[in-house]
Formats: sequence, structure tokens, C-alpha cells
Amino acid sequence: MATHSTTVKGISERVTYTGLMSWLTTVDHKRIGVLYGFTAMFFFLVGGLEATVIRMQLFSPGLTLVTPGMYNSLFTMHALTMIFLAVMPLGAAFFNFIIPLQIGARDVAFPRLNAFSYWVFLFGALLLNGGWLINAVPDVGWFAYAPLTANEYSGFGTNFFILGLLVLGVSSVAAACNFIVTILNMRAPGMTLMRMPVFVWMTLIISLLLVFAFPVLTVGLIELLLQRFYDMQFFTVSQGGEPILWQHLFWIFGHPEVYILILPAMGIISDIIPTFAKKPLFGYGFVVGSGVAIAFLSFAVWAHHMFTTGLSALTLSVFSGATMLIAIPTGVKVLNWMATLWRGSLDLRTPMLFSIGFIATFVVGGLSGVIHASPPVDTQQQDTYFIVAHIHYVLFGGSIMGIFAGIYYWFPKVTGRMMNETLGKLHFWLFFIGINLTFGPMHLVGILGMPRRIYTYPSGMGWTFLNQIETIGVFIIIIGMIAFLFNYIRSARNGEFAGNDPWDGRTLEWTIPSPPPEYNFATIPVVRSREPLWDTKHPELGDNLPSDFGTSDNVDTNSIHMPNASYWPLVTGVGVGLGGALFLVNPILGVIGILITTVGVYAWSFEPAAPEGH
Amino acid sequence: MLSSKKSTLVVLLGMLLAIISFACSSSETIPLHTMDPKSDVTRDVQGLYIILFSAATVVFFAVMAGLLYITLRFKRKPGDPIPLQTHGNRSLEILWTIIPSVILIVILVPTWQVIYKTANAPENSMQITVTGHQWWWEIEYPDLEIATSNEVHVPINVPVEITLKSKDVIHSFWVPQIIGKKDMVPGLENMIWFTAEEAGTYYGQCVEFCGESHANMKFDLVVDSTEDFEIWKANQLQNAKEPQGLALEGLTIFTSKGCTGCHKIEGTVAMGTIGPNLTHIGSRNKIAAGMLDNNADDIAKWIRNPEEIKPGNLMSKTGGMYTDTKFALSEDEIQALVAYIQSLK
Amino acid sequence: MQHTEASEQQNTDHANTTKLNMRKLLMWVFLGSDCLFFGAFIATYMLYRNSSLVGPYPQEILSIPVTSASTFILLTSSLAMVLALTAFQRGNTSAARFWLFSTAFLGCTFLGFQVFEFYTFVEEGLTPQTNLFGATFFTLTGFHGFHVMLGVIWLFSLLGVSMTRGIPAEKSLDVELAGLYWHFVDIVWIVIFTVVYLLSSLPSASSH
Repeated sequence: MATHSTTVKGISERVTYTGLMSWLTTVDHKRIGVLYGFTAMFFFLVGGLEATVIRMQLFSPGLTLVTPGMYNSLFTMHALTMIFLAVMPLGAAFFNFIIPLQIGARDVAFPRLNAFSYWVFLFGALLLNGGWLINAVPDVGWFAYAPLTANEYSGFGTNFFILGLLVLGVSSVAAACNFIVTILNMRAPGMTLMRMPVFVWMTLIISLLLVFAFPVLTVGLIELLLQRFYDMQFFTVSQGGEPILWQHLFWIFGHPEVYILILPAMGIISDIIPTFAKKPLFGYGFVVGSGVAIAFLSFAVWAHHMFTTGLSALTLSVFSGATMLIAIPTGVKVLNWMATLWRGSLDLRTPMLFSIGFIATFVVGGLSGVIHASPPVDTQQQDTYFIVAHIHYVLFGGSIMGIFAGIYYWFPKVTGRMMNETLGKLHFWLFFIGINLTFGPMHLVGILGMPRRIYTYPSGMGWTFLNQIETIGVFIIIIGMIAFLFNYIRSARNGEFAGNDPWDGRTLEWTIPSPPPEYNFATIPVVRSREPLWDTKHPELGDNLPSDFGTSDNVDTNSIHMPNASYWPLVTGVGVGLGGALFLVNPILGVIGILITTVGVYAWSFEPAAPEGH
Repeated sequence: MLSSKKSTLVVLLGMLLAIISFACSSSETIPLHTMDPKSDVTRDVQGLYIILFSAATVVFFAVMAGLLYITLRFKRKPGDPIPLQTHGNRSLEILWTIIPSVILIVILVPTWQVIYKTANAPENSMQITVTGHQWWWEIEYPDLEIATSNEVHVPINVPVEITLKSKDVIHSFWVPQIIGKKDMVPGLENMIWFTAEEAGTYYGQCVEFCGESHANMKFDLVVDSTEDFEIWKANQLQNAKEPQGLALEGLTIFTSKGCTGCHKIEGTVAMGTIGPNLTHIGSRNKIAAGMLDNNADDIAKWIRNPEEIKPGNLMSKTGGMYTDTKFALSEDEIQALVAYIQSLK
Repeated sequence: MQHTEASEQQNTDHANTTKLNMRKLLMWVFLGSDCLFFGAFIATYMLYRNSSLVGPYPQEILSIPVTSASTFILLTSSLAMVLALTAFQRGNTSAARFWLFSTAFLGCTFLGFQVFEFYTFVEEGLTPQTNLFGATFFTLTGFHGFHVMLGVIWLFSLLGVSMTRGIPAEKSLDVELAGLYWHFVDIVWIVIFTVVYLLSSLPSASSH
């Protein structure tokens, strides 16, 4: 590494802090991952509480546990919380912690931008929930169709929806840009794109989806904001506006969004299954290729959310075709996972149980999706509980199961300790049974005509018994969560020490200590195959070359250059979040946010990213 | 311990039994049943539904059986060697890309056929216009010059085309046994059509979230025999029946309390178009858009406190007798109004 | 060569698998995202092109001659930007500062034209609230103008840095990044000019 010949005014000692300040100024991807993880898990519980109240209200006909207005807020916030504040940031937690480790890097491309993304996420999450404080909670459904969101038909809560998502969009796009550059540019020598772990591939694809899809939502939100605050009638029929425009803008974002939600889980289990089957992923190229195909196709199917809005026969045909098409790469992935398991030597510990469970429940969700990919059939299924069943099988049975697989799998790497296996299995079975008990009957109750988003239903519809089963299922899920939380807290403190490689792993993250040192790799590895660790441990098994990990014996770890800690990402994040919040109080006050952001951006630009001589 | 193959079979049989035990039901006991077609269009959709559902079920069982078998058969036992490190098989990949593609084409072709078949109404269909409001249904028969609310009548075996509109937000019109849903989007005119094949009263509900009382926006679609429809039509064309006795008192109260500002009753001074047309409300099955039965107690319940039945509704929000205690209705006044409403057959 | 070696070394650029500079790649990704941002506003504009229920209508109020002038100015500013960058890369500081200033100045002139246009339109009865044309026009060109404004601030900041601690050839990437952004904003304007101004002179299918 050549030294700079120019003199840089600034510190040559690395900037660090201790205690709380060290968390507020961290630019370490591992710490940021932990921050995302804890925040997201908190909101997962919030979303779960919202769901529990919903299910309790629906236990019997005519219950009055909550008012209709509150119910409408609950299902709106449940979806927003789970999608934007739980599943997405749980994915981000993994991207942050694991990606640099899997590509043999010491951090992400832009550590401060990474921290900024987290802080903006946190403030966006708080803003989205700000309505609870003043009894103005969004209640227009998570996709907020116009004209219901006009001032005439909805209250102040809708503004929290708009600003909250605008702020969260900044966080997501910034993080996505960061990960694209990181994955493209910071791979260890020898790690070609086709040697990256599938989880890294999925992260790259998700990041590209985010970068291209989110701006479209942002535009829709801005137009809605301008309509509500400044009378610019984008969606008002009496001025010539078209409510359907909102739907198009929303779903052009919304459909790639659902792939953003499922692909992390698919990436995670693509890493876990080979490890726990002791076999490489079957058809790696096809799994990766399917991911890429899904990404492209995801921009071509959005109108399948709009099949009942009055689209032309041609439009319906095209979009149903594209939607069915997207089932093919998804199916290919499932078959490849099953082929990996076939003739493997299956270790059925918790990460693997969740992975196999994922396949089972995700496939159910995928199949129900194919059924309503047919517009005529959709005329009977749209807006019923059949759709709710589909959504939850793919998101809970899919994304969440995959994410928990990842938590159990990587917990040892993050904390250096093992989780309790018995409690883990208990958690899995409670979830598996709970998910099927809660969401399985929804298929049937949807076929029996129960519409979604109704705060109550009369008796005599044939729905009561099924609703009661569904509500009971929720409590089984809750017990599973308790088992998990207890396990997590106890294991983090007292779990068995894990060592570098507790699972007999195949990828780079298992070559370094658990938890990893700040610099991750004492020596950057030289990678010579797709499964560098496995091939190095087992040269006798195939014709893959072993990789080169060096030894940490003669490396002066103090001389490894790491970026400075910084509080400017936090300050800039405060500017963005506060700007959004103050705008709601009075748009003029949003200027304060702009000023803080400007100060933050300038200070950030002029601050050296790392010590001199770097 | 059962072998992996036997265990798999047992579990699958159990699942199959569970599904079969739920499969048999009909709309007699389940008003919004979506797989009990009673019109030509829903029959076509049902055919498609069954094809897709069957294909999905077959795949479901295949995958579950596969997973179960794999998990049990290849579970690691102590001493097992490291398995063969197979990387893939190109022919297999091609095969299992082609097979799903074929299956999907098999599903897609009938899908497209039904889309086009159901796209356009037959010539000379009976025309009906339904306009969605928060939270009731405005119904007009433009060619017959009939206007009513919350209960659609159609004759059996006659093609009917419904134009769907909305006055405020997006609603959706759905009577599962008769017609699949279509959204009612303000600014658009969406069309649906069907030919009902079995007489009866069918339950309909709004299925696009439309605000606070979305759950409380229902309607009936009555398929009349040819004769019954003529009777209904003739009745609808008449002005409101002249009230007598208590009902006449009710009309007086109806007028003095300002109900005429929102409601229309043909042949009286009530010419309001903000709320439902009440000319023949006495002859409908339900009141308040499917919320209550059409009997004295339920009508009184509605008039007494509409907010309790349909939170957020316009009547409680703007009606003087609800917003101002000075104009509140006494129990006697309510009974008179009930008599009047019941008289409007 | 001394300066190419140095210009390859920027602060945090270590691992570089694609040999694309980190910050440059970041800027490209961001610009890709911004394309969709403008694309959605342009799509909204095009959807509502003939939907305004009341005037003023585009053909009545848009001035292609005046906007052609401002477009020309913006295009020229891109040329100035290119010249600024090459000057920085060669270490020709005074030329670099001149061209950088010119770019920013021309950008400001463009903004001046925009402000003038907005003001005139409001005087003539077209506000963002008047009709859909107003809403979509002001939003689209407004956000574009906002992007230009940010660019101008960036350029002046770079000028400030150049005049205080200096921007040597090895640090010319800082200017190149601003250049990429600036050219992007220019290209977006060309699309807007075509879709909004030039297309408005075509006979429309509208009912009014």
C-alpha cells in the first residue's frame, strides 16, 4: 500500500470512542448489523402485537375489542411495521454483518454511509409510528389507495405514512448503493462473481431492485404529499386525476419489494443447506441465474395486484403470462435446494430445520400465488383471506423462517457462542405448527368468501370456527417467540463457546474468530474456488483448489487500517429524520432539517474517512 | 420407528383427509362461498379455478412428499461418510425448467380463453348502473328508469351488464356465486356482465377497503324468475305508497326533521340524492346496506343510533337529530318513522 | 507516470475488483436510481398531458424559444464542466477554476430562466394548483431545478476548496464526480425539454 505523498491536514491517530458514543459513532459494519438486528427484532414484536390484537378481535363474530377505526389502523400498521421495520431491516442486519465476511473484506465500501443508513432507518421507523403519540395513526391500508388517502377521506395519520416511508426510502436506497459497490468492488482476490456465496448474490440483486424500485414509490409519495399539503390534485377525479395512477406507481415499487423481502431468506438457506447436508449447492449457476431472472421479471408483473381494477383483456393476459413466468425460476430454486438435500448427509439441527421448513411453507405460498395469477380466478380471490394466506405463507413461512434460520446459523459468528439446540427445535416446531394453524385455514376461509380488512363479521357465514383456529395458532407462534427470546438472551451470556467454525462451514466467514475482530481478516484471503473453506479442509474430495488464508501469526494487527469513527452520519441522519418530523408539524419547519442535513453533509465530506497514511 | 417411506405416506394421507373433510360445502350454509357458481361467468371461472387448484395440489403433495422423504431418508447417522459432492446436472436443470413451463402454459391458455370470453357483454344485455358510496350502493336501471339502493334485482337467464362507478373512494362489487369482483373506481366506468342461472337471493359485499365501515357495506342480488322480475319492475316504477295513520305521522316527521334533504322518495317532497333512495325500501330484504333485517325492531335500531351499526356514516355525522340534542328523535317519533319506512313497499 | 498513479489512489479505495473507482461506481448507481425518480415524474406528466380540465394549457403558455435559450445555456455548462475537469486533471489550476466557475455561473443562469418562467406562469394564471398541467409541470421542472441547485452549490463548494486548500490532479476525481452528476442533470433536462416543451407543440388528442 503506497502512502499518500500529499499532506492531508488532519489526524494521523485513528478516531475512536468508548461506551455509548462508540455506538453512536460506529462505522463498523458488524456493529451496524447488530443495531439493525435489535431494532428490527423490536419492531417484529410490535408488529406481532398488532397482529395478535387483530386476531383476537376476529376470534368471534361481532366482538368489540377495538373500534373499527383502531382495527383499520392496526392492520395498516401491522403490514407497514412487518414489511419496512422488521423483514427489510432484518435482511439489512445480515447484509451488514455477513457480506463483508463472506467476500473477504474488512468493511463495506462506504462505512459512514452505512451508519447513516441505519440512523435514518431508526428515525424513519419512529416517524412512521409517531402517530400513536397523537392518536393519528395511518389507517388507510399499507398500500394506501387513492382517493381514500385524500384529505377528504382520511385523517392526519396518512401524513405519518407518507413522511415515514419517504425517510425510510432514503435509508434503503443509500444502503443499497453501498452494498452494490461493496459486492462489486471489495471481493477478495480470486473471488469472481460466480464464486460468491449465493447469499452475496441475492444481496446484490436485492440492492439493485431497491435502487430502481424505491424511487418510483418516492415519486408517488411526493405526489400524494403535494396533494394533501398543497392542493396539487394528482389523484383527484374532479380535476381530471386518476386514482389508478397511484396504484401503478405503488405496485411498480411494490412488486420488486416483495422479492426484496423474500430473496434474503432464499440466499440464507442457499448457504445453510449445503453446510448442513455436507454437499455443495446443486445447480449453483441455475440458482443464481434464477435470482437474476426473478429480478428482471419482478419489474414486469406489477399489474397483477390490479387485476380487478378494470384493465383491458390484453393487459390482463400479458401480466398473467409474466406472473406465471416468474413461477418458473422460483420453482427451479426449490428443486435445486431439494436436489442439494438429496443424497446429502443431513444434520437436522435448528438452522437446517428452519431451512427445510422454509421450503415447505414457502412452496405453499408460491402455489397459492400461481392460482391467483389467473385474472378470472383472481376475481374470486382478490381481497379475500386467500390472498392474506398467500402473503403470510410467503412472508412468514418464507422470509421470517429463512431469517430465523440465519439467526441460528450466524449467532455463533456474531456472539462467539452457541444457541441452545433444544430450545431452538422447540421454537421451530412451535412456529411451524403455529404458522400452519394460523394461516392454513385462511385459504379455506378465503374460498368461503371472507373479505380482508373487515373489523368484524356476522355469524352464519361459515367463518367462525376457522377464525378461532387461526387465533389459537397465533398464541402458539407467541410461545415459540418466547422460547427464542429466552434462548437468545441466555445463550448470548452463557452459551457454549463456538470457535471459528462450529458448523463445519464452507464459506469465508467461518475462517475467522467468533466474534470476528474489528478488522475481520488478519490477512485478506486468496480465493480459488466457490467454497473456499470447505475445499481447503477437504482437498481429497474434488478437483477444487484450496484457498490461501495466511496465518495471523506474523501480522501486526495494529497496523491494519480501519476507518475512523464519526458522528456526522448520525447528525446527517438526524437532519433527515427531524426534517420529516418537523414537516408534519409545519412544513416551513422542515427547513431546520435541511439545515442540519447540510451541515452534516459538509462536515462529513471534509472529514477524513481514515487516518492519514492510509 | 416407521421407515421413512411409511411415515411419509401416513402424513400425506392425513393431510389429504383433512382437505377432503373441508371440501364439501355450498352457499346454502355459506353465503359468500366462492366455489358455488350460479351464473355462466362464474361457471367458467370455476372450471379454471379447479384446473389451477388441482395442478397446485398435485405439486403441493409432490413437494411435501419429496421433502418429507428426503428429510427422513437422508438424515445423518453417526459414522456417515461425507456424501458425493455433486455440483449439478445440466440435463436435469433443463428438464425441470421445461416441465413447469409446460404446466404453466397449460394453465395460461384456458386463463386467456376465459379472460377474452368474459371480457365483453353480449349484445342487448340488460343495463344496470351501480355506484358505490361510503357505505351503500346506488342502483339504477337506465333503460327502465328505475332507481333504488342496496338490492339489485335481475331476471333469470337474461344477460345483464352492470356499469360500476363510485362517488367517493374505490369500492368493489362482488357476489361470488353470480359474478367475480370488479373495482368501482371514481372517474372510471368498469363493466361486468353475467347471465344468472338459478333463482335466489345472493349475498354481496364490498371488497375494496373503503374506510371506517368497509366491513359494513353489503348488498343483496336477487335473481328473480321472469314473472317475479316483471312484478318487481312494475312496483319499482310506481311512486311511493301513500301512508296512513302512524305511517303518515312518520312522513311528517321525515319531512320536518330534514331527512328529505338526503333521501329520495318518489311522489313526495323527498328529493335528496346524497343518501339511498327509499321509495320502495319496505319491500327489501335488508336495510342499511345489508346490515340489518327489514323488521320494525331493526329499523328502529338503525334510526335510533346509526353510528352504532355503521360507524362513521354520513347520517350520524350530518343529520341534525344526531348532532344536536335539541333535534333528537323521541321514541314515539322513531316508531312513527319505522311505520312509515315499513309502509314504503 | 506520476500523476496517473496518484489519480488512481483515492482515500478509501483499496480492494478494487472491478477496477472501477468506488465513489465513481457509487455515483453511477445513484444516477441510475435517480433515472427512475425522474422517469416516474415524467410518466405522470405524460399520463396527464391531455387531462387538464381547465387552462392554461401547455401550448398556450410554454415558450419554446425562451426555453431553447435556457436549454442551450445548460448544455454549454456541460461543455464548461468537461473543460473544467480536463484542466483539473492536467493541474492547470487557473483554467480549472475559470471553467468551474463558468459551469456554476451558467447553471445559475439556467436557474434564473426557470425562476423567471415560473414567475411568469403564475402571473398568467398557471399555478401548481390550477390544473393537472400545473401540478405535473411544476413538480417535474421543480425537482429538476432543485437538482440543478444542488449541483450549483456543489460546484461552488468545489471552487471554494480549490481556492483554499487546492484540488491537485490526484484529487480530480472529486471534480469528476460532480461532473457526472452535472451531465446527468443536463441529460434529464433534454428529456424534459422534449417531452414537455417540444411535444406540446404537436396537435394533441385532448377533448378541449
